[in-house]
Formats: sequence, C-alpha cells, structure tokens
Amino acid sequence: MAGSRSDPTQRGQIPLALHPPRRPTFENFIAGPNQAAVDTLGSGLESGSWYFLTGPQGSGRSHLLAATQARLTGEGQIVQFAALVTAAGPALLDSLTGDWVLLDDVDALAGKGSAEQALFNALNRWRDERTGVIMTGAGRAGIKLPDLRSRLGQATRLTLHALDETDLAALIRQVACEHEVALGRGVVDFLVTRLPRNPGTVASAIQLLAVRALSERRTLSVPLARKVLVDQ
Amino acid sequence: MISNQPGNSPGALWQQCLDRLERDIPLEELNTWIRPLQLLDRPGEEIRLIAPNDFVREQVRHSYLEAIRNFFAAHGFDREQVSVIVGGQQQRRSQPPRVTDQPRTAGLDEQYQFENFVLGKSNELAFAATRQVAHNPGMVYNPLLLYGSTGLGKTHLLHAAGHFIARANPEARVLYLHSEKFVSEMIQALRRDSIDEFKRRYRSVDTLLIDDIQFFAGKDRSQEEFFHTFNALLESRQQIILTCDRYPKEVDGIEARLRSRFGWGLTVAIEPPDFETRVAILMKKAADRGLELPEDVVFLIAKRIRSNVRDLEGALNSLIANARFSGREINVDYTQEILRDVLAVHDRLITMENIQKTVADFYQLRVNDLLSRRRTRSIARPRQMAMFLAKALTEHSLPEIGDAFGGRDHTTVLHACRTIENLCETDSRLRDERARLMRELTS
Repeated sequence: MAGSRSDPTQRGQIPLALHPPRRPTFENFIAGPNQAAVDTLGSGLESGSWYFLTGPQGSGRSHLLAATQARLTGEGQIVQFAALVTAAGPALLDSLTGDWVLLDDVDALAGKGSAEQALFNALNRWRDERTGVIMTGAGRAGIKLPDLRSRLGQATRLTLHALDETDLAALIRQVACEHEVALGRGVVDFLVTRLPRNPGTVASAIQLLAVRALSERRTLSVPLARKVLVDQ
Repeated sequence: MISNQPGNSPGALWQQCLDRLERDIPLEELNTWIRPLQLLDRPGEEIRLIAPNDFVREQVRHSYLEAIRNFFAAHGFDREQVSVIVGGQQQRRSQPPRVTDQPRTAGLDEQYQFENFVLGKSNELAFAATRQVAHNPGMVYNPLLLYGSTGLGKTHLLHAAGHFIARANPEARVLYLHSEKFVSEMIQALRRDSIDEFKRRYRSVDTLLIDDIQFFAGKDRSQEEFFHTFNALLESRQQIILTCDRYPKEVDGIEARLRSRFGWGLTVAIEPPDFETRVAILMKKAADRGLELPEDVVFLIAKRIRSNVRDLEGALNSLIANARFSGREINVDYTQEILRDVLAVHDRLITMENIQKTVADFYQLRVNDLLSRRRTRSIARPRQMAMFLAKALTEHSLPEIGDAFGGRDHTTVLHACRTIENLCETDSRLRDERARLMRELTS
C-alpha cells in the first residue's frame, strides 16, 4: 500500500496503536492569534469564494484545511481535496469539481510549468462553475505564470501567525491530554522554551514524547523530555 | 458470516476502516483519496465505495483497495464483494454555476456588465471601443483586440460586450471561452472524430469572445483551426473580440498570418489603473458588499497595491473577512496589521535597487551601465525607463532618484519621465515593455 507504515503491534512495540494520529479538527486547534482565520473557515466561508490560507510550514495550514474538509463534508456539501505534494496531486486537478475544492500546498507546483498551467486552467473552470476554492501555501512568490499569480492574489488571504508562549503551553497540555499522558512539574515551561514555535512541530514532538512516556510507563517529565530531545 | 450488530453495520465498519487507515496512511493521502469515498448505503453483503471520478477510483484501486478489503474480510465480508466504482456526484451542487450554459449566451458571466465597470484614464479607451463594438457588432472594429497585463479588466469587458449584444439582439448567439478551452475542445473533437461538429459550432456563432489568446502560442493545430474559424466569421461579418496579455505582435509562437489578422481591426491597450481609479475600484467593491471604508484605509491600500484589480480585490476581501470575526474596527492600523504580508511583498519589490536590477536584467545590461555617464540609446532609454518606474512606483523625490542614478540632477529625472510617457503614446513596443516591467515589479 502506498505510503503505508509498518504495523507497530507486529513489531512487538507497545501501545502506539491505541493512539492514532491526531485527527485534525477545529476543536483541537489552538487558535491563539489566528482566531479570525479559524472562525472564517469554521463558519464564515462564502460559497463560490476563493481563500488562500498562508503561513509558514508547520503553522497548522494542513490541519485547518483537513478540519474544513470534514466540516463541509459533514454539512452535505460536495468537497474534493488534493494534496499537491503527492505525485498524483497536480494530475488530479483536471478531475476536481464540486461545491468546494481544497488544495493543500500550492507551493508544490511553483515553478513547474505544466503544473502551474493545470492549476490556472482549473481555477478558470472553477470560477465558471462557482466552485469555492480553499488553498494553502507559503505564498505565491514562487509562482512563475503571471496569470496564475494574479488569480491567487484575488483570493481572500487568511494568514496564520506564530503562537505565543501561553498558546504553546495550551497546545502541549492538550496533546498530552489526548494521549492520556501525565505531565511532570515544570515540563511545559521546559518545552515551551526549547521547541520551535509552530504548532505542527510542537504537536509532533509531544506525540513522540507521549508515546515514549507511555511505553516506559512514566510521567512525561523534564528529564525524559530532555533525553528524548537530545536523542532526536 | 456478517453480524447484524449495529456496530458491524457497513456504515459503522467503514468508519472503523477510516480510523484504521488514518493510522497507516499519511494524512495528505487520506484526505485526497480516501475521505472523498462514500459508502453506497445499501443493505446486503456488498460494500460499494463511490469515488467522485475515474482518477480517484484508479488510485484507490491501485494503492488502497487491498487494505480496505483486508479490513472488511477480517469482519466477515467476502473480499471480492468490496469494490470501488465511480459516481458520487449524484448529490446536487448547492450552488448553480456562475456562467450560463444557454446555447445563445454560452460562457457568459452575469456579474460582468458595462454598468459595473469602474472607468479610469487607464481603461477608458478600451471601454469606449468595446462599447462601440457592442452597439454595432460586426460593423465597426473587427476583430477588436484588448491587450494588457493580467487582472486589469479585459475579461470583464469581454463578458460585458457579450451581454450587451445578446440583450440588444435576442436572436444573436454569443460564445465566450478561454483560449485553453478552445484548444482542449478541439483536441477532444479530434479524438472523438467530431471535428466537423466542432467547426460548425464555432463558425455558427454571431459573436465569438476569446480570452487570453497568448495561450495559443506554440499550439500549431489549434492555431490552424482558429485561423479558419476566424476567417469564416470575419467573412460573414460576425464579431470577434479577443484579449491578450501583451501586444499581440510580441507573442512568440503565434503564426505570422494569425498575428497579421489580429491587427485587421482595432487593437487597444488597457493599462494598470492609476491611483484615482484604484481608489474608485476599492470603494465600489466595498459598497457592493455593503461597506463604507474610511478614506484613509482606501488610500493606504490604493497607494501600496498598484499591480492589478485582482490584488486590490484580494486585499479588500482579506480585510473584510478578518474584521468580520475579530470584531475590530477597520482603520489604518488594523489594515496594516492584516495586510502586513501583502504590503510587505509589494514594498519589497519596489525598492530603488530592485527597480534598477529588474530593468537592467530586462534589457540585458548591468546595473552599473544604468548608473554610468554613457548616453548611447541602448543604455539611455533603459535608464530613462528605470527613472520613470522609480518615480511611478516609489515615494522618493526627484533629487533622491537622481542621486540613486549616479548623482544626476532632478531635471534629468523629470526629462526621463516625460520622455517615456510621450514615447509610450506612440510606441507600442515601449508601452508593452513598460507594462511588463510594471507587472514584474508589482505582482
């Protein structure tokens, strides 16, 4: 199976399978300074409109896009999704249609002539079909085709900014709670000052630490966090 | 054997299967290929998953069906009874398409009308010519060709002319399409051996509106077909209106005979909007959304975003969307906060140094040539162009611009700006170069 991971239970490891990867929802996204973007995606999308969710890598763009996909699908709308980083992503563009088309990581097409052209053609079609489009990416600076750059400029831009220390601490507590792992004294402050400030990296790091704590049947403490981070 | 327990219903099992796949497949693949699948809700022992199109179905069959079958087999289903088929679009779209599919006015978008086109110095000629053609289709300028950078309103005028012609003559058949669509329909017609039908369709319209003809470049078979369509329509005095992102003679890869025909009628430039027009556009678009923006906010956006109407619209939409949920008042501070990235990109591109570098690269010179004392035409004209752009796009004073160009006097800068403005009135090549440089620096 493409992209499959080996089954941890078959390698005799402990309870990884009890905790599937975080399912991206609006509820488990710590919005911090990005509340307006979250609210727009959560309840303020205007049908037929185009949105460009920007922010640095790991800022939660893909998380919010997947949460939006789930929300719109749950409302009975026809939603199609393309992760443009996957090999088949650009080829998929021509076949996407519906109330909403969600495109993750437009940057993946930047500078690739035929892929940029395919997105440009698809955007023209979606405009005619009144299809709403939500795209994510770092921006449009790398896009070479002027017509495509101009169309991306027309989208409503929702920018995700870095979280502050309070929000990062909330995120750490939340991910630990989802994994049912106890946090030791001072570990949140320890991690806040040592981890990068983007939620994607923080969530991944806490998942890793949580799995380690669970497998060793320990509290997620400062010594454990220090050891795992050093090992990484 | 399949249990009838509610937890083992196909729907519940499919949800469990998704949970399982969620662990095994990267999120981006899951969202792209698996989440769009819908379980066909039918009692029985068959598990049918509906893919939205052939592409998704094939990918699922190839990469994921085995795992899905394994899951259902472990819950008592026959592996072969689990299948993926195409369908899924039996749901009704919640929005009707924006453009009409009526044969008489195919492709026209209702939102683009002459009445809601914001007029300014930069587009008044194109507007007047298009209106005149719409009043007398096939009689005055045929073809009419509008050219200019992307996002300046060419498509708006094309649709507006189409609507006007269709309203004035209820018998008229008007067809709007993007050149890429012409190409893809022609390829399909060739594949299906229905090229005669394709020809009949295009040659039977009263008005043909084709957007972005620069995309015909390098597509010889499409050009050939378009050439004959063009001739047939012109001979029977049916109107053709075209748009192009640059002066058509400058488009590489278009056959000479086609280029020559583009020039038979009237070719009109549409320029980037000036400050006043940008202000008017922003105010109109805000008013369309029931908002009256403070003047200083409008001035701020219009002053900093000079590239095209799409960027203005995008900035305005972003501001409104963010303000709506934050509950903050839209003022200059909030606008700068929300549009920080967009404005920074525009500011970054239009520094004096970047203007000099961009112009030097464009004319294949070195920046030092622009700053030198040399006065040969091949250097002096690009230098004048760079000075013109520095005055048009930055807030530097004339003496500052002169200083930045090797310590020249401010009267030299003034002379350079006037020279470029005057020459662009008559020299289409220079006008196109100016438009391309503007576009490169502002978008």
